[in-house]
Amino acid sequence: MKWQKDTFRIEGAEGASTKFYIVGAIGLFLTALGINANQEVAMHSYLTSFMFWMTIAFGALFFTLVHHLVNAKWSVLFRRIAEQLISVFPIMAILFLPILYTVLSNNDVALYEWAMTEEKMETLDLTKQHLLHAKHIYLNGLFFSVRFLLYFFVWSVLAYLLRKKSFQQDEKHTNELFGSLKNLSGPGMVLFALTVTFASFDWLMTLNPYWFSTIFGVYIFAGSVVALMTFLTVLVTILKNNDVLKDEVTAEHYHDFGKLTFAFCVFWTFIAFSQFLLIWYGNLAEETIFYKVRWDYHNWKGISLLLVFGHFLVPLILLMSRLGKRNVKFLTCMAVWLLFIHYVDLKWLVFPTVSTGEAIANTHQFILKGETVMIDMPAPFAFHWTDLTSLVGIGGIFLGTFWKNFVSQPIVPVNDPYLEKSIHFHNINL
Amino acid sequence: MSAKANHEIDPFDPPLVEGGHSFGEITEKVCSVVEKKPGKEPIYWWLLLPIGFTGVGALHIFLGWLFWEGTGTWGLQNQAYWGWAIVNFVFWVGIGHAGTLISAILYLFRQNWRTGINRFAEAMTIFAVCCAAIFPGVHIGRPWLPYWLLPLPNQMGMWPNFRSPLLWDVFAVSTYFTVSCLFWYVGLIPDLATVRDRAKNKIRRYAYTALSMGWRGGNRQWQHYEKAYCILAGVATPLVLSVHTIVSFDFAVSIVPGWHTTIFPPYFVAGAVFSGFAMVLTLSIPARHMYHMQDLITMRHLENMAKILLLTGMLVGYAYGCEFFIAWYSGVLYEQAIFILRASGPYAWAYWTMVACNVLSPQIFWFKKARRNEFVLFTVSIFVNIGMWFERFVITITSLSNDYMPSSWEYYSPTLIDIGTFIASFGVFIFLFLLFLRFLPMIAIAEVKAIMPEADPHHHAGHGKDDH
Amino acid sequence: MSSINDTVEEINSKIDDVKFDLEVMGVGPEDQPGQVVGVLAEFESPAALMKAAAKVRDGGYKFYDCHSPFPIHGMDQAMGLKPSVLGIFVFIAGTIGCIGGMALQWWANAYQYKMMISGKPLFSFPAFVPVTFEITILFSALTAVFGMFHLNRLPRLHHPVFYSENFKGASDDKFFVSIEAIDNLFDANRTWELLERIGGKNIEFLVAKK
Repeated sequence: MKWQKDTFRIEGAEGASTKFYIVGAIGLFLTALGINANQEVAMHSYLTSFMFWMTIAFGALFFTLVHHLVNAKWSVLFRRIAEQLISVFPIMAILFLPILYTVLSNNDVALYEWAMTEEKMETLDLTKQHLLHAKHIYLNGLFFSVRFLLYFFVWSVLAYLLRKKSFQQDEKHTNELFGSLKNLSGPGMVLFALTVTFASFDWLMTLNPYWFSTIFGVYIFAGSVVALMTFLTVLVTILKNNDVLKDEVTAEHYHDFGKLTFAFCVFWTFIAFSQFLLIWYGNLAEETIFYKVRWDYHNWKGISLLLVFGHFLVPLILLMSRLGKRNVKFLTCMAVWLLFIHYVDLKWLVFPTVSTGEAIANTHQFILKGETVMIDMPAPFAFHWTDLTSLVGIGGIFLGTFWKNFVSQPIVPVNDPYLEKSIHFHNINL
Repeated sequence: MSAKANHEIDPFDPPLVEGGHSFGEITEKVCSVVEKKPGKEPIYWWLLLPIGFTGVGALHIFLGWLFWEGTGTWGLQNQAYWGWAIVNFVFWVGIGHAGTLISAILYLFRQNWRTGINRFAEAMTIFAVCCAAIFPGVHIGRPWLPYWLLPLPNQMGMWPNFRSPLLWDVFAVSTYFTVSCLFWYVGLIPDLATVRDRAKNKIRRYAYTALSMGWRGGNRQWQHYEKAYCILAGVATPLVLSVHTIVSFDFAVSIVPGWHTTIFPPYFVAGAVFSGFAMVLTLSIPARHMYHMQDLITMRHLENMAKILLLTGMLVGYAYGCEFFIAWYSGVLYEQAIFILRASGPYAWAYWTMVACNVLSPQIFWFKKARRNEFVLFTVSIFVNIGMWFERFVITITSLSNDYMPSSWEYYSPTLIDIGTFIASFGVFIFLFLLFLRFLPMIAIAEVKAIMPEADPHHHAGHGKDDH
Repeated sequence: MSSINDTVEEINSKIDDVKFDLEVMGVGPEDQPGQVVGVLAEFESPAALMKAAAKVRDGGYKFYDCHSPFPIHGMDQAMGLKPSVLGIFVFIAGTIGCIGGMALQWWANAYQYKMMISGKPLFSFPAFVPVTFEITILFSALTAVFGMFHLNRLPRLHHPVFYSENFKGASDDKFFVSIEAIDNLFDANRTWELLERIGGKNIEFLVAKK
């Protein structure tokens, strides 16, 4: 890897992306074997890993849009990284196909209970039948596929336009071009909010089709921004260790990474706690089931508490002080920890629907009052080898695509009028 | 910061102080308002003063009547046991969110344009919270026992119920009021010192000397001062989120259809910011003309506020949509019924007023021309004020007056006392605001100076003041 | 040898600290009318003030300050000030508020006055979070403000700089360096000369008035 300081390019590092692809392919192959062996666990692993990498891409899209909308200056140095991260949407769409396949093949065991055939639905108890029938207009293979296509279409087009204009700016900066990036970001943000909300409803919330929460999309969004900021911190540290942007990126920039990570960890807590408190206080069985399966059974209580500590208290205390945010090594360690916790958070959302064959009787108090719905008792929380293979598999493809694009262009928007400002940026407060 | 940028005005980052003022001119501009001889206030000030004064008087009459007769004078019913009082409370508390948002959150995000409007907005916050406190204060049943809300040791050995969201409200609103006042005062200290140093007569000098506590503007003081300001911003940011979150808990912890939904906290916060910014616009557009502050509260400030209105308007729109979708998706019949009822039942007029004002009217701000047109800005800000009041009305009244038993359904109407009390609360707000404009610097002088290019020690002296 | 010098310096700086505390608490020497209690010099711009600050610091003075109508970015380093300790105060107060708030609610609702309501446990942790949070914030904010007042020794209505008429511009558009007479190095003539040398304008003695 050779760093060209004048042109802001990395040379002789294209090979790495091939390596990423190869590792990714091996990971995916092993995951496929895992799916063959135990489709329920392996597909849950796959969905968790898929969401892990997708949330980083969501965060990157958000970062790019916000950067343009608020005319940010300090983040110019990192704009290109985010822009290259969002280039992964088309390939992520392909990686979504196994998940889509479970739905289209009416496989209700692998992931989504609602994907079952009409005939099988007849065998369910009446309350479940009623609810699934009522939701059938939304939860069916065709509409699910249409929405999947729509989300990825929106993200890919947004990414394409943002990237194209940004690369044009590298050729020649004009105010019109710069303004058009900002004009694109307004509607882009609206589309982003809607698609991310419904994508998180579709892919995660409907894992238990009888449970619902209006805040769910915001919850995923909050986690996404934490994922992006921490990923960015780790990536920038790796780049710096290889002499890339060594002089340009200073403690001031890490300070801002730290602040944003801190802010969004707290925001995540705000959202998570709001959802929890309202459901706990209302105490309606059809809502509390979400927390019941994540608290009462096996080792789930420990994982729930781990999230409280790891995703809130640890960053709250350690990132509160100025020192913690400005120490590169320390902040990078925190970022790695938070990436891990973010993964656990997603696993915490996904895995309780892996069943043990036993069922919990849940008596409804609000929907179809007094009716009992049998909910699968969750399997204990454990790491499976497919967790690793799917994470590496999807990650390899994700990073390979990112890296290939990343080294093919200058790694900062070289003609951005605020580039100098971003490099010499100083924190005034905090 | 290329050489070019020093000479041309950056179209994406135009100067925040227009007209090429020096530090001294800014002091003069802001302080002269406070230093006018009595009777020399702008004509509009004198026109508004009686309105405010009448409001204060009328409030006494309405509340006196309420205390004499009891809450039966309000339009409360068996079902709608929370009427206009809670609607007005949430409305005013919501407005009170912009001030701290501007001073705290925008400060943390280094949005320098906040300096033109923060003093203003903070004052507005405090007065709005004062107005808000009236309504639950007089609605506690025995208004002579408000201290029962506080955890005070007493001979009956009773303690408040900390599991009640209404008690959380007491803590949230009183903390918010205290912190807002502290924040406002800390920001005022250097400016009060400026007024002190310019004071011509003894009374003024003594008053402002006491208020500014002997501020010397030494860097040894600025150092701790800035740290304190920064910490205040840091603690006020989660506070501002928590206040409307807790207000939303008042509704959302209950299992009333239309209230019990998890998006309420962020949705209420977004709504509060939305209504607060609308009120800042409503106040700042006339004020900048009244006091000729167009160079300090520039078009750029107004445009940025318009953008925030658009953003937060979309956020509340998002929440309306999410609620509707999940009401359907949840399969809960009561939820579905209440949302259909909102859109098509007896209160549909209120619902659609709300949607039109809150979601549709800010859409005009997609156009730059609209964002830079004061008439459009002012009109939309009024619409948003109305729309946000109706939002609270729709939430409170539709869910309460149509509960599980259709036999107890009734159409809620306010009485004249309800309406009068609400209008009178505007009088209080206007009155306090006029006093603020008269006696305190309405723009944060020190902060505006600090963001001017000349304040930067690395600024090239040669360019002089017309360089931005 | 250097160790002896270090020790002397340390003792001197401790004496200065004590002096500083005494002075700001109003226990210092009474200003006699006509007594010179300091020197004040005006500077042209924030940049000039910052350069002057560094030079006064290098001159070894401790009881000096740089006055400006607004905070100047980078001045703390120029004057060689230690970072403000306010953050630690606030952290401690916030922690006390947090623990105290939760303890108050436990004591009131789960211990002293047990009231079973809405089927919630007596000690309902989730329901106690909002009030705990508010009390934490209240304690932190009050400490931030009153801690700042304490560190800045406010309110303090009398100070040598207020003897100057010109100093009124410090809250408007003027920039000053003041050096107080209680400084060990203070010598009316030499201090005046120093301020003159580093570019001070309108230099004046701060003479105590009645």
